[in-house]
Amino acid sequence: MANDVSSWFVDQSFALRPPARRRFLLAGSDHTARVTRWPRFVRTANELKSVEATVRLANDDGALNNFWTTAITMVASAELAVGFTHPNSGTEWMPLYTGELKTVAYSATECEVRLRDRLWAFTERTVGDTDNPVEIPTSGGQLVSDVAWTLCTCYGGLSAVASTSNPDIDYEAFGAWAAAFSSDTILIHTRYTGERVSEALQALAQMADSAVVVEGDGRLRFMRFEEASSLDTTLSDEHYAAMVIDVDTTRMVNRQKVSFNYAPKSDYWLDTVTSVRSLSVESFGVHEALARDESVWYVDSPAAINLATRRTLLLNDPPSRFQVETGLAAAHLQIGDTVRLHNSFYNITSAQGWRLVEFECDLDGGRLTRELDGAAVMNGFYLDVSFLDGDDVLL
Amino acid sequence: MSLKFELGPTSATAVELTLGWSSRFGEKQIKSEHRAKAGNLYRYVWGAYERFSLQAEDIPGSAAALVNSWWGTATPLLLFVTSGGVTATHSVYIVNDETPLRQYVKPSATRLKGTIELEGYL
Repeated sequence: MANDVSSWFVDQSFALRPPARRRFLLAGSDHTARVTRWPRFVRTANELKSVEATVRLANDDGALNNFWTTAITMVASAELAVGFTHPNSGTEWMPLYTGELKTVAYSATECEVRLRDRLWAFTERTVGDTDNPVEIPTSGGQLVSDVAWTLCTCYGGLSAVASTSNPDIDYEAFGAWAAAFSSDTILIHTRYTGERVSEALQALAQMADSAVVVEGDGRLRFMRFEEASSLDTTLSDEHYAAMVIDVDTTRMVNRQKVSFNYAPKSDYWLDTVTSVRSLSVESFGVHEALARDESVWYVDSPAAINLATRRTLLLNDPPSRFQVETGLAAAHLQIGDTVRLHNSFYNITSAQGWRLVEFECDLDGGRLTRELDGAAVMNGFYLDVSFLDGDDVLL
Repeated sequence: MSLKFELGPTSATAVELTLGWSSRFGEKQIKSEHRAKAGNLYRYVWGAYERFSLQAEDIPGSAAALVNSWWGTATPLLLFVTSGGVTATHSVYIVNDETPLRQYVKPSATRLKGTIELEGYL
């Protein structure tokens, strides 16, 4: 789901000479005028990790010395935003990064502040230990989303408010994510012996073929990539300064095994299911993968086969990835959104959607580098009317 | 129409500068540019600040000492540019790497010259 901005904001992002602005808030105060170097940061759906951003600030007058003279002032929230100034209504801002101040370094007359997003807190908390393992649920199976909620709220310390007013979790996205598992009754069992919450969530995301990222506004967002969402954005060679195409057969999976019903005491996997794409095996040879994790496992075969089928469906052809470098065009898009690409040289038409899976923001240069993944989209049927109009087809 | 240049922390303490023809005025933009594959040029102007390179000539020793002391103490200054009875005021710092006025004007041993680099601070 794209950032909540006005259509005017989106239009400005595509403009050649928009009235662009940047903003840096620290503990609610605007420190934009002190910034000497804006940060570059990378947000990715490919792995669960905290995003770090480093901002350099002018400290010639010593106004920022308080961070080390009074260390408690380091407990501060931070926000980096980009905006466009409307001629009548002022600047419309969109947060690109929200985090907390974690490290301060002074050098000469500069103060360098290093920020970490919400996921960092998950690396500082653990679940269970070897003597007293934590099992969620205590017996049987539970929906993937319910286990994730428990991890985030009971062990990760996030808000447990079950509504869209939750300040830590994008509850609307969480609801959609949870619905995907409840509709298919995807049940899992987990057992933690001292894993960090971040590791537990990463394992859960991998076994559920999902992505967990922190959005620009700082909230945690859960996604399971399915059909292309609104494909209302097209990036073409009018927008990107560079594009790299990467077709990688090493990512292929045409025979996926998923083990389930793990017995921790005997360290034994009771069952395994397999999904095979025969046509792909005949064309490309066997590309096999095994999904099993001693901290999270499925408790029945329908749930396990759901993952196996999903993996072979998405990865049975060599997946294509595009890396597209633009200015601020379509800056409102977030990880998980789908966009169309157009490139006549590579014969890339706007018939397909590509999933935004990685986002690198160079705020100093106003540059966005986005990775779009074809394997993360289940493209629906697309009727190319222009193709049907060809004489050779209809005559 | 002649221009009058005065520099100082306040209008009351400002000193008048006599400038040479190679003095330069203007703004520097802080911007990013991206040239798309189809030729479109995206341009983001994040901000701008004023820059002045003033070739000061024949400055009395007392005024030169003041200017040099403002440089040494990084004093926020105002540059008053008066033309036809209208005065524009610019908030500036002296950003020279070395003492700005440090060369005597031949044959005088009491008057100095040099280049004063000023940058606005918004």
